[in-house]
Amino acid sequence: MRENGWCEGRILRLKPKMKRVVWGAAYIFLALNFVFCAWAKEVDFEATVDRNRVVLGESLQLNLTFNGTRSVPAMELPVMDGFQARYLGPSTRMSIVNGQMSSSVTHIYTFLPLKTGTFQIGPLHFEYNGDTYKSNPVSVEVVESSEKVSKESSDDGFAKDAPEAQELKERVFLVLRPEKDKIYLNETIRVIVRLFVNGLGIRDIQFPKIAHDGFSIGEFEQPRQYQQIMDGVSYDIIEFEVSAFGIKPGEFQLGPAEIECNLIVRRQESRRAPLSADHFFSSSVFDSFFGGYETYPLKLRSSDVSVTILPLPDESKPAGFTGAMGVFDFEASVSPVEVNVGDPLTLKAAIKGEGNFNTVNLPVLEMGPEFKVYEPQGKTEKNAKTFEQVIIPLRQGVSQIPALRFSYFNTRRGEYVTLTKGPFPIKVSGLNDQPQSQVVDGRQTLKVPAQKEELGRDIAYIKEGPGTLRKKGLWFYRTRIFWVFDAFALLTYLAFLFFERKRRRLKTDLRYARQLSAPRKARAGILRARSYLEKEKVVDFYDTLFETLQEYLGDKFHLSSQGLTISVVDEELKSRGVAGDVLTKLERIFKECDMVRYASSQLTKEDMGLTLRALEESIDYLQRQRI
Amino acid sequence: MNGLVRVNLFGVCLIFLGGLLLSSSALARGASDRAAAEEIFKEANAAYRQNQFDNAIETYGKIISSGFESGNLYYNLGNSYFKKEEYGRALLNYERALLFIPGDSDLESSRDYVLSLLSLKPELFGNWLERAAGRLFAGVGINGLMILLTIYFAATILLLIFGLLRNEFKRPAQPFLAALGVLLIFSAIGLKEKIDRLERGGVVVSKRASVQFEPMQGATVYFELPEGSSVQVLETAKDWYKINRSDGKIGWIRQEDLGLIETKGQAGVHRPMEIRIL
Repeated sequence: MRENGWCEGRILRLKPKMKRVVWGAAYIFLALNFVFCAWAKEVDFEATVDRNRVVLGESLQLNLTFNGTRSVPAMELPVMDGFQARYLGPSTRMSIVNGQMSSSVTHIYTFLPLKTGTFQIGPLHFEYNGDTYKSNPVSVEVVESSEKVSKESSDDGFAKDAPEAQELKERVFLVLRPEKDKIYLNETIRVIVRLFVNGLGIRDIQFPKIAHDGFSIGEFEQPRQYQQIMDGVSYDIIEFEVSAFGIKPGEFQLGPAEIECNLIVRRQESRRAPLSADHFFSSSVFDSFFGGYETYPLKLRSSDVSVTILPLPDESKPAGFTGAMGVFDFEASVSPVEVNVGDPLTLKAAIKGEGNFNTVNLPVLEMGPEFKVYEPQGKTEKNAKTFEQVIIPLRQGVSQIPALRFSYFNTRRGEYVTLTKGPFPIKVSGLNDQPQSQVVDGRQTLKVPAQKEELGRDIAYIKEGPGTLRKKGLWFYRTRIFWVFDAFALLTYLAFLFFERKRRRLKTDLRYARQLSAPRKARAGILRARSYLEKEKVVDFYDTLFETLQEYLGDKFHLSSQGLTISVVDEELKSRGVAGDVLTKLERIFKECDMVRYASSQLTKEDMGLTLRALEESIDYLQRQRI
Repeated sequence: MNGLVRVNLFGVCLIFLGGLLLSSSALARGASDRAAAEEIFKEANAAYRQNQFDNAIETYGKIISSGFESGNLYYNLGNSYFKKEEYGRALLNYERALLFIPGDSDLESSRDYVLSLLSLKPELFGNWLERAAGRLFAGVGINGLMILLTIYFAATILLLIFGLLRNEFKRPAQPFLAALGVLLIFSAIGLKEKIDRLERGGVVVSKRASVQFEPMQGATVYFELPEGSSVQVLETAKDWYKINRSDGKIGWIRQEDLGLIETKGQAGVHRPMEIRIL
């Protein structure tokens, strides 16, 4: 409904022939316009839905139609409790019925109900171009699904005393559960995140994100999916498992966990006559064949869980304890057991069990100077960590590799445990066992069998300092200063080039040099002449004028300034097409100068001023014309 | 005139030097922020020594999120990922470190070791000129090469100006000018190669990545790339990158399979994956 009474009209352009005809036609046009406006349809704003009763989990379509115009844009809907809205697009229509044209634009929204109940949408108000539009209210009833299930309880700690689902969040929700709520520092526990879904379509489920201040969280494993009935309601469950361990003692909140996914909602089918051509060729037939669904983004959040991280006890901590946490078995062996001095033997150790393998290290061997020991190479597998360490005996007679002691904190029993393997007996043969060569010339030669040196390989250690820290992304080539500097350097060179070329030309091209200096010298001469004019020194004035004119014309046309006469100048200037009045001025100046210089004259200051002006104008003309 | 020219020359030289000094000093700012970043670096190193590699990665990432980076930082990040056996991410961070500390022997040996574990070789992209320039300036970082380029350019300009003002300089200066010209061209090409590696380089971070003909689900797979492979990103579409392999083959790879050399945010840890039910 338009409140200000204005309406659209048409501007007619008339050919201007006679004034009376023009004015008369204008009056007729105005009258017709008012009549047209009276018959013109007013714009109205209408809200409709495709159905007034919808099941929770299905969407409905809201159409906002502006009749009488096609130019009104889509409005941003206010936040409505119980619904989530999304704009689909406009649809315009124009029709001519009984000679009358009408147009409309419909903005289509899809509404997803979030809870059951009866709701009223609107009336909606929309302002556009100074006009306010108001729609009618629309009533919508949202009912729950009619699915029936048998009741059965669950005993894994995830049972909820949930009432029958009346809101969307009762049908899809997220639960976070750590394995324990009291753990030791660095103790690894399982953390499970479960997504519960009842009677809804969910897709594009992302891995959960868990807030974990005070914890270190690993990577989620592949989720598993199964069904479970809780309190008579059947749920599809997607279970994510990840390991975590506490990194500092204290009480912390683990979570909440958040998951993003898409809710699949069935697009409603349009109602057409089953046997009509429209039904065959309508999009709804193809939709129901191919699946008429649309998706809504959902972000689900669980509650957080309080977890206490206990520090490890200090009493009875073994000397060789390096922080291993869990429940482990320890195996170790050495091979080969018989070697020569300098030959490598390999100590293999395996620590298996459950726990935080990040904290598991190979115990340090207490070896004396009779061994050379290389850094151990570790490999982590599922529930096991294996080590290989190369040891080289450096002298004969060594009989064993000392025992290995692996200490860890048993998180199940809450106490320190030390597992010992070895000592490992070995036999090391020396160089004396090898046959020696005969002395021939007094020099001893020993035959030492070629030994293949086995070198270990690994990455180098980390850097102790951060090095030169700089602002992220701050590369020199992205700063302006280097490019400005380079541009400046180039401009400097170009300036030097320009000035150097000019200097050389001035030096070598006399004609050019004279032409360039001519106006400057003429200006200086005119200034001197003016000063003589002020002092009324007639002879000096005309002498200066004559010299200035002679020098200027000589420099300008590359003639000998000395002895330059009007006849020479006349001939030169005529050949260059100089205007006649300028030639006349120059002749007059020359004659006046000659007259004063060689004969007495009665010229006044005014005459001198006129002559000076004539000279200035002539020089100005010759400069401007570039002759 | 001669005196005036000498004064001008002196002034020009002063301006050149002043410009270079100003450029380098302009980068030395934010001392207190750096001190805080250094403390965080030490914290991260402590976590590494205690084999808490996830913690170390997260802490190193805090430095990057705070707006700082360095070759040592990326090197340590690479080591941390290596310890977690995420070799692709380790190589990605080694590549980042190479842009800062290209001649570092620890970095080169660690990178070569990881490449050998994955049975890969270092890759170079571009035409033969770019590859040659890349090898020539392999030991110089981007900023170092930019300084070299500016020095060569400034030296060329100075020689040209001297040649203009003193004829006797022209002939003896010609071989130097020729040499500077060649160096200028090569360093410009080398800089372009490094900038391409920074802005368009990527490393495969998943165990195996499929490269398809089209950026859509279910498209035909053209070839597969193992973890740690280097590629160049040509184009970005939603969730996909168009990449170029070193042999010139082009295809589309999922964004989650590739780590870009130039980080826009924190050195990534999370890898969300889509799952569908129904």
